[in-house]
Amino acid sequence: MFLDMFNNPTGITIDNDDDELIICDTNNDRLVIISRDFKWIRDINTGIETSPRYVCTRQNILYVTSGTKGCVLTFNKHTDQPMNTIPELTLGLTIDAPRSIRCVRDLLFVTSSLSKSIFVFTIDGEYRGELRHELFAKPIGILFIDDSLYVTDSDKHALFHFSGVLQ
Amino acid sequence: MLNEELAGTLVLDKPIHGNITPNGTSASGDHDGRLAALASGSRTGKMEIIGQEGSGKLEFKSPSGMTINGDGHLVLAEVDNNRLQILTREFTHIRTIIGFREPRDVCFTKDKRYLITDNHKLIILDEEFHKVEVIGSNKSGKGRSQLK
Repeated sequence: MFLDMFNNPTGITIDNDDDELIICDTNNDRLVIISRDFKWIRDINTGIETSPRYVCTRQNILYVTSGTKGCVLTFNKHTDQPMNTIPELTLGLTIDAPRSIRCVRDLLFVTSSLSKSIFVFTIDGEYRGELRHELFAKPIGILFIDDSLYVTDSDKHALFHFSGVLQ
Repeated sequence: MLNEELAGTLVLDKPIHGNITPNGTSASGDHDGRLAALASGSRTGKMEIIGQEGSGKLEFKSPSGMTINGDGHLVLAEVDNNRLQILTREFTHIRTIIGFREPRDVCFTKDKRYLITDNHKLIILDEEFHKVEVIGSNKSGKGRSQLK
């Protein structure tokens, strides 16, 4: 029986290196790691009131957007230990209501649904700026395919397509 | 239905820490240089906006997570339309999959399974969108041993 497992799960990512699937169990403040045949492997607690929203993975690091903390939390996926926070707390910079996160060409892209922008960081967490478009209302999902960037906007009820962004 | 607006440009704005240095010597310098082309105000190759609020084909209500499937098609989860919509990358409507509550994200695995987070559930569908498994229920909880 799989009853009452999650509390508002949101983002999912696939870790092809370890053949694992990672689900943000948002209102349980944890990541749930399952195998490719959908068996529970382990949980990673993301911390009290972190509301993990979306997740991506690169090498041995999990990057998780925290809906309540306004940042990206990182975890070593082999030890499950928390690592640095992006952006660094000392910068006084927050990502207002972060949602989807993707790692492309060693850059992290994070939608900020309230700032109406897409934050760009290096994988080490260095702030590189924000992608803005005057018609963004509440960007949520992002996807890179080849040289195209796709962005879903839940207030504009539309899909944006930009080509040539990372050419 | 299909709106192509050319108004506006995607720009890279760095309001907090000064200007981008496109010629940095770090390993990621060239990537930042590519982004800096946006900062300088040059247009992206092409920009389109697809859809408007609605429940028809190529219309959306609160689109959220998306992925690309094995056919190279875009798969979008629409929270307030309770559905997935499958489009080609040229934005031709392929298929609509209904019957969800509030789907938030979707992934496609190399085993050709769709994973969808929906309400308090993880729904697993096969390539033809037939149900393979549902983990969780419509009631929230914090189980774990159930999944073993």
